[in-house]
Amino acid sequence: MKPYQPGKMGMAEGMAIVLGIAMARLLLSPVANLVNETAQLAWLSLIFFNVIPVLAFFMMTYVTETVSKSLFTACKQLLGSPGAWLIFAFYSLMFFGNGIILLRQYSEYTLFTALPRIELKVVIIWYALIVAIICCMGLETIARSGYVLLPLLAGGLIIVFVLLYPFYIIHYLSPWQGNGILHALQFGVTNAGYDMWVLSLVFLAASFQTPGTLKRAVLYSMSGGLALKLWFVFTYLMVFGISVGSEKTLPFYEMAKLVYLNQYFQRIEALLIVVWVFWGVLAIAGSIYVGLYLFGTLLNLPALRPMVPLVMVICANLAILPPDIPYVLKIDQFLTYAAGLGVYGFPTVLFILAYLSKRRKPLCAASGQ
Amino acid sequence: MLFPFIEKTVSGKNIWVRINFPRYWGEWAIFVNTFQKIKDALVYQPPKEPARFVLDETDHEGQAAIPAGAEAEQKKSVREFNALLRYSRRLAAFMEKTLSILHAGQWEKRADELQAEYQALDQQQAELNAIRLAYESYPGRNAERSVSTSLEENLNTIRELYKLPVNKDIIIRNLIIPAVHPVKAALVYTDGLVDKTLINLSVMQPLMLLGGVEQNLYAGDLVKIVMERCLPSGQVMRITSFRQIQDAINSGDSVLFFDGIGEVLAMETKGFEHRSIDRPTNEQTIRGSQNAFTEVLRVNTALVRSMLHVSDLVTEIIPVGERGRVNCAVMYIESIANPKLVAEIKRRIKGINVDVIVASGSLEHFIVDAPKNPFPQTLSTERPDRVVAHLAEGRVGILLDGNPFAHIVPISLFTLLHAADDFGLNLYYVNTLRAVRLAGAFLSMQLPALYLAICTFHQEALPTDLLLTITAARAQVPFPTIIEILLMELSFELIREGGLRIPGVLGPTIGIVGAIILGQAAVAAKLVSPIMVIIIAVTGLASYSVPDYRLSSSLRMFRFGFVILAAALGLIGIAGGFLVLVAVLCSFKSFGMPYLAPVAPKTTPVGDVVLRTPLSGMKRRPDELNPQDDYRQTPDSRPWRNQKPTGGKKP
Repeated sequence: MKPYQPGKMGMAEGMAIVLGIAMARLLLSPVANLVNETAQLAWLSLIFFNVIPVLAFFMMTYVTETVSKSLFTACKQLLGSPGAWLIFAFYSLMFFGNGIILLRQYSEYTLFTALPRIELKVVIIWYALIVAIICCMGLETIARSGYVLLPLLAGGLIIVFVLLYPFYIIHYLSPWQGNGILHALQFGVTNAGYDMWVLSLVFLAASFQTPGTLKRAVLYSMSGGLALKLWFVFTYLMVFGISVGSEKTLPFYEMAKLVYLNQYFQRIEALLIVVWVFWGVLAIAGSIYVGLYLFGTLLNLPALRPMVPLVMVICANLAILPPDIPYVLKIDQFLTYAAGLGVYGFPTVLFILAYLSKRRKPLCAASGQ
Repeated sequence: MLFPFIEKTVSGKNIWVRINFPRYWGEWAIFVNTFQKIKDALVYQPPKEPARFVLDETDHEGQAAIPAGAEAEQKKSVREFNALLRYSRRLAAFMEKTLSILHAGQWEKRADELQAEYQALDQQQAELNAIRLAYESYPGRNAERSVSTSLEENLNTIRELYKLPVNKDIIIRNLIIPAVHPVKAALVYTDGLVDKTLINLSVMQPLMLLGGVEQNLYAGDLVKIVMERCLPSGQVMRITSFRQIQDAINSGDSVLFFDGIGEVLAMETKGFEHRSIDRPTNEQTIRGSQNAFTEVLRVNTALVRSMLHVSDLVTEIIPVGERGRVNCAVMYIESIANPKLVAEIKRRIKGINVDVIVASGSLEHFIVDAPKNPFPQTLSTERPDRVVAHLAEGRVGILLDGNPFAHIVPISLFTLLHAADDFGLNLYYVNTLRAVRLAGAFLSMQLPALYLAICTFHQEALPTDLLLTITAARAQVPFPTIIEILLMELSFELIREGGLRIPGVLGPTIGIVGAIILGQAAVAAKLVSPIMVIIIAVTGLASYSVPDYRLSSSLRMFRFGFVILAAALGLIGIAGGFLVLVAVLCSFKSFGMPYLAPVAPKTTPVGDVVLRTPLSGMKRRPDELNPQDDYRQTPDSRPWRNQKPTGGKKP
């Protein structure tokens, strides 16, 4: 695989990429949907959302360790060129799709929360412009900007959680069985593509120091991210309960809006819009860049930068197409289901083939066996 | 077969099934090849660029590519050089042969043979003269000429180089050194740059009056004899090229030519007027050294050395500029600084191809990684103690003759937020000051933009009482907030710039009075609201809290950008702009070192980034510099704590 970003990025950069892309939906509507489906057992589904993609990541890592360091070469060796093309085209489209959906959702919710009098197109173009500039600077810049700013974002979330303590109603967390454990399990398994974006690190492996760096980055980021998500869901449930919580379209914004300590400390949601923009733009930039990276690998392109403006124009246009936000949420749900193929299908096939090819390898003649 | 791409192989007892797409893919080769050709024709190919310098721990560094056309030029030069070399070898062989014939007494027998060979050599020399003349007449090559044995020719070259007699600065003083065979000589120096008393007493007098008349100077090494016996001057050097001669004369040294000798003596006779060591004007401290650099390079390097008594503190002098050659000193501690970093800095300085460099700021533009980036990429300081502290960490100091500022490289953004006496004051006080500086830097860039965004788009962020106060204050102002801000910012910049240009002590006074009167009048005339005056004044003060002037000015420039973004999209615009700014900061490097190190990329913490830890806890040197010696303290830097106290009462 061509290292478009030659370098030796470390664990912090890896964590920033994973958290940046995978945590972006925490601020959007899927949390309300999760609460609606699984009620008090939302935490159980969240665990599945995290664990299954991590397992898929390790299966893919096994492939790169046993067959070839480059996943594209490994796919070629195991499935031939059409197979490799199919897999990379799928993941590339998924990442582009994720970027487009996030672009539309963040733009739409920006209108709701901060700029009600501005045209949607203007906001989409603004976000696309920033994403294009950041993508032009390369993966290293995206990752480093991420880990400079992500602590700020996590800090913003935690401040909201803490300031909401007067509104906590502990018994909203009961009954403990929610809508049924089986249902929560089923929801967790079918929607495991929710965090498929963790696989981005396997594709970007050439830009990192060692495979160990990647593994540590994934483990730390996914466990830290899970802790933050669980805290978010518990706070959300304790503040709004199931019936109100299922109705909200913007859980984080609604929680921030609720903060009131006194007449001098209220309505902090306006300031947290900055957090919102940082996270959204980094997630979109990360997704688009990984999509572009896979696309470049697929076509063996010599450089990615000239593609960025064109890709962003196309993405912005596609983001404008859906007529309204319910339609966008439907596409988002479809994308999550489709991502199941990226979490279950391809990693499993590649893992099995890699395992079989490893077993078939002849032993060294010098060993005398 | 139903699926031709599935292959079955039997190996011993095992049966293997393999999916083999690639073999069948070969049948589609014509399409693949056509696609490849179309792609090659259409797809953008990135330009070949030399690898960027990255201060790295690994050995595989990219070599600088040879520029286009240079290879042909190089080959031509090699050919010419080989021709000259062949001629000189032939000449040497001819001379040896002549000598052996003379020794053997066969001169008469072989005279014709020698004459023929001599004529051939003469002809070859005539052919090669074109190369020699072309080389010497090349612009700037005049200086590469070697010193001739003819005094007259040498003086002619000096006259040609210095445009004598039109130019009145250069003095040629002819003299005769008394000896058995008196030696004709000439002393050349620049009037005004030399100490005439020193020349009279240490050069002219010993040469003309005190020399031994009975000596035959031409019998031995004349230059050595003069140097060792006649010249009591401190520093004397033998030089052979006009490049060195010019460097010496231009820097205030005197040069002594001898008739019949292809070497000259350069004597240190500098004596030009210069400012004495003074207190720092831009980087004043409450505690710490009160010396500042001056305009004389050697005084400045001596100031550093007087504070840093380290034997392997190296001062390399590199002349910069093709015409006006200015000495540039590169200082580093050899056992600490990363050799790759030192080599890269020297490479960049030596690679400057410009007529004259006057200011250290100009030098910076020629050697930094990204000259178009508004953020400073070197630390410019007038304090020798700051240079010393950074040299001890593994950085490199660059000083330019005639400039009272030194550059320290490489640096990060955080270095620019540190002040000179950060290690001289109490830990907690310093950390408070550093937090204030950081807040100042942020406010100087963002405060007007934040005010504009919140007043225009996000009024809900303000407490109701404050919102009412602002609304009441703005009720009679006829302009939108952005016009108010731009008016006030423009006025502030005018006062700042005017205050600098007004001569003498009036400048600051007029600046302050102007600001007060202007602010008061603007509010009274209801052109701006009182709150706006407060916002702009706080922003201005905040910009002065940033220790580095260049950083402060770049933040000031970004402020205008953020005001426009805030006017367009409120906090969303500011957030987008800030994100791009962070991305830019993350992406560029100062001399190969990431600009946001040690935060991005994360390196081993040393306890001195935004805040600082106690000095005894700062065991390591900054990891991002990759110094040769990582540690500056032993694990227990205060062993006295474990020792038995001397004196005092016994328990």
